[in-house]
Amino acid sequence: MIDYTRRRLLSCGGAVIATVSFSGIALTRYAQANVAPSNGIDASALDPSFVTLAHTLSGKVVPDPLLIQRVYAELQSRYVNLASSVPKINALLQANKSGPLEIHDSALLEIYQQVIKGLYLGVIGTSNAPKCIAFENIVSYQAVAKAFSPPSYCAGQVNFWVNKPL
Amino acid sequence: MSNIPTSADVVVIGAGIAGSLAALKMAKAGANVLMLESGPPLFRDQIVENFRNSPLKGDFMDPYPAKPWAPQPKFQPADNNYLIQKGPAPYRAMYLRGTGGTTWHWAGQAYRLLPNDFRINSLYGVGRDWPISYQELEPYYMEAERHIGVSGDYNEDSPRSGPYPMPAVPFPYGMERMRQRLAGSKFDVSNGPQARNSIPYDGRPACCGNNNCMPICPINAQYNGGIAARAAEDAGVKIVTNAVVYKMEADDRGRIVAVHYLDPNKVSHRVSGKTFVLTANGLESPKLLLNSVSERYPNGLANSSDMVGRNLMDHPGSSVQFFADEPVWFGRGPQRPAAINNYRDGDYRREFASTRIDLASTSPVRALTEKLVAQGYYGNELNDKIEEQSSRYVLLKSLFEMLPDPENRVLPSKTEKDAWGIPRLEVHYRFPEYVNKAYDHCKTDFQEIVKLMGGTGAIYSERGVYDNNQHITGTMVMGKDPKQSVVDAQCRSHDHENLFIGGTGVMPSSASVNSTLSGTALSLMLAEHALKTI
Repeated sequence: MIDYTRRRLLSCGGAVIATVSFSGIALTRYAQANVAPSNGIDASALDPSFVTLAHTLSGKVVPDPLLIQRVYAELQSRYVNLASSVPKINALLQANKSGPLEIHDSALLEIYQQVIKGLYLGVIGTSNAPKCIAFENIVSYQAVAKAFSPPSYCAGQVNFWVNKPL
Repeated sequence: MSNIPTSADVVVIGAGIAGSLAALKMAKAGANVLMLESGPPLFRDQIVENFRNSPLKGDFMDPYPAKPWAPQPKFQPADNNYLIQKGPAPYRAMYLRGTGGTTWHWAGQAYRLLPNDFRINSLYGVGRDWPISYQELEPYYMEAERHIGVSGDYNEDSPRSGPYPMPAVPFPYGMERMRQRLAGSKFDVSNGPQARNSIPYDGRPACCGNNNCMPICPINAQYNGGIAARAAEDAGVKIVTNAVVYKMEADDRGRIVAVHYLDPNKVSHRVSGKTFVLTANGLESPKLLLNSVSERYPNGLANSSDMVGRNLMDHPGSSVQFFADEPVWFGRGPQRPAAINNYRDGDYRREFASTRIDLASTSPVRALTEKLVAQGYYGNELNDKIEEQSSRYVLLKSLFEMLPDPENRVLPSKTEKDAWGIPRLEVHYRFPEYVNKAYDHCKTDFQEIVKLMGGTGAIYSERGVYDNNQHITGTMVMGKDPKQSVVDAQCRSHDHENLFIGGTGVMPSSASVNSTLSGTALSLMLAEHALKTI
């Protein structure tokens, strides 16, 4: 379902971008500069361990602070045990030297998946009730920004696709 | 309400691309035309916003929320059961009810049929022949291409009386590489003709590679029926939206005299006319005809043949996805710029379905990320894999020809109704062995292509489990024999002299190309004949 109450926050940059071309880099800056904080939450109130988790999961990509804030706000409202779960996930990540992370605790796994999906895909919730919380500034598109723009955003030059990405 | 017309020379039901261009043509010829559309007006900027905010980016229907009075099929996150699936195979048609119709979320592929596609029964002993030839439809293909703005350079063995309106959209880098690597094999990678501006055309910009053709082109470089509807309005066509036509009325001589529609307040309105054109897509149009039951017409209107709703065809499709041995960056530029079209025809069609293979250039980033996240990757390793895999990802999708089978059909439910009290459709659908055999041959072709591209990690779709391509054909089939068909060579109902039916639903064969251009050409043809009746 589309959450129209969120529409203004996601699209106050996007509504202009709908008809104008931007480079991938300019797009990120625009998104950061023009999207208002959600629900009036003070960014400095974010749990530092959650910020650590977000950065660990995002690797070399520095996630948009607003994106982290939104994921945190959504999950805080859904999971009463979020605050106690995040340090446990951080510990598992620290212990995991390489390769995919395995989490055997199903409740912890669920929260972990919500965090990483929120960051990388901009979608949280269940398969039957997903919710979009972000799009153009999600980590997956940041990771491929040299080659791909998020769909519906134009790289700016007609026929750019004829050439390899720079 | 008092300003809403209650009569017109021509009443068009359904304001999609077919109805809108037919209406435009008739209005320009001086007819007084009224178009009734069950759904709402659609606006591009709102649709783009809806898309960006949607949690279901792979669902083309999600940016187009349906109105309660004009429900439409939706299959994510779950089937909304608007179409009642009777099986054995699911028929997941995703069509829109709103001004402009389903071409708001199409891929913009604007193929013509081949001359032989009109004669598969005479040539190959399967399916049905058309009552008209390719040559007779050719001028209307030209007219449709000019209206829409089709870019192309591919000969495609469909003879042309003039050039394409625009030069071809150039190949993306990776598809040019694929063309080079497959050169010399049986696979000829070519530009498909597209309803997409390669240069500014008709006041609309050239494609700039938003890679969002499905579900919405943000800049109108890709044509859609909304553009046609606006042009029709500018030419004087009156469009009444949110008008759900639920019944057509015929007099004792068999002439259609009026249609009845419900508005958003469930109030019924009657609209009379001299001539009626039905272009409400290949499912909603037969639904209306079959629901227009009376004592004189117990099987519905235009249905003395009992063919209305039968012979449902679409394009079932299979696929292969793999990682090429070099970066190809599928997902940059338009979503369907190229295809392997060079063996759509041949004597093999006696045994198995005509096949075409699309090179699908939809951005793979989201789908690959979902998979990798589910596998437990995170951090730098996840980022590196997303980057690496998305650069090498290749998706090929086949389209198979269906044959007309009277038992593949839709008919109104006797028990299930929508929120406005209109019976919903039951869908009976099965895939013939004709398609399954084509799958087998196509899989062999896929395997060869994977090898030629040094592919790894190939995943083949399953036999008998096919994608649907939203090309609804056959349900109000054209033919010479009134006992075996619904409309004649002019798309005029055999039963009602002032009823014309357009769009893809009248096509007697589906071939293996997207059917929109053909349905549009047919509608432009019927507009000429309809004008003679007023």
